[in-house]
Amino acid sequence: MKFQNTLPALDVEKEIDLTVEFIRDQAINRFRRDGIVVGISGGIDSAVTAILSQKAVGNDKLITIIMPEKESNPISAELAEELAAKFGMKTIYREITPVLEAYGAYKMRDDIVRKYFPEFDGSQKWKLVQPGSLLEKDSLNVYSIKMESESGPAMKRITGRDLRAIVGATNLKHRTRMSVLYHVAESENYLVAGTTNLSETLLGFYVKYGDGGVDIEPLSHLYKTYIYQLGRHLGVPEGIINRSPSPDTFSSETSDDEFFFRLPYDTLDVFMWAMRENVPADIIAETMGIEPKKVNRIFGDLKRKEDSSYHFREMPAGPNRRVP
Amino acid sequence: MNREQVAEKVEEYIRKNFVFDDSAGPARDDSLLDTGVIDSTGVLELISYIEGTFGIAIEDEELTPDNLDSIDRITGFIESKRA
Repeated sequence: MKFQNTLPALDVEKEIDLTVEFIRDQAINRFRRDGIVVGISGGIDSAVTAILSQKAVGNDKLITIIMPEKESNPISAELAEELAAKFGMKTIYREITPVLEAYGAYKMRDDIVRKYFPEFDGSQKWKLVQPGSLLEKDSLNVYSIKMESESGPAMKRITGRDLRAIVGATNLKHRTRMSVLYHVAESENYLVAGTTNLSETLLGFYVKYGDGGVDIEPLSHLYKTYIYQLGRHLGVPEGIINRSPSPDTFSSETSDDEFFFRLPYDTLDVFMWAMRENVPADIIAETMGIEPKKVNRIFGDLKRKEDSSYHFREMPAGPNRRVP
Repeated sequence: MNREQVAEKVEEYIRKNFVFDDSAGPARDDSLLDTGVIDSTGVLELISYIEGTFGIAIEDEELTPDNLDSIDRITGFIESKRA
């Protein structure tokens, strides 16, 4: 297949039909459920999943759930509500802040942030970021806290132990949402549809038993670029389509790019596709007009992310023997 | 501490903290990233260890594979910082 600096063209209507059929078959024939639950975040992936699910089982068998917490960008819930209103979706609103406070999730993170920024009182906005674009910088994937303050942003590199503690506390958000989704789904005999796309699936950009804790993943075969194409065709509100993809888990707005991928989705998708199709680095470099060493740097990073997240995609291991 | 002693200390730290089987650990010129010995959290731990053990401060722009992706490179980097 020829490398052209963009993904191959997708037959959007055919892809919609096939994915709708997949969802219907899973919900009705495989899981034998009465409907589908989708958590909608105000992002493109959950919007497309919800619309396809609506097409698959009908509007009366779809429940969407909006689950903000105190650090969520308010625009997330507004866009999710706009989507639900436009498509007439039944929506439940569950604020998860009290649950996270009961876990101590905010306090655990704030205590760590205060080690690096003693003046932090919980009101300033912050986020975790990696160094800049992989196309520009040959730097290791090292995390820093980026703090917003009146005098401007400040960054401080954190230790591995503190990174793990922040990530663990932050992931309580995803795992709480998973619990809410299953609470509603089990009450109604519904199935939980996930929203993880192909790049996220392959590189491990989701939380195990969090947003990865679902019954089906209808978008896990599609690059984000294609999901935008589906979204436009399906009539997803412009505000969702034009919004920068974000995990929306820190008080300061973070993009997927600066938090994890270090590349914008359109570039990431092309590299992911080229890597899976074994397109030689020199051809990519020539076509994209970049140095071969940068191509190899990106391939190396993608491969390492894929390798280090392999356990996300595995069933929990057990002794494979019969006793007695 | 001479160069070989620095390399031995780094090697010992990596083997103790990042090698979980009975193998000898990475060769001194093995890529720690490509062989999966360290990930993004491990890099941060390694940086803390180097700064704490060898009394050097590592700037953000120095956090590159050229400086930190093998025991040999780490050793050379520490030596250059201490020079």
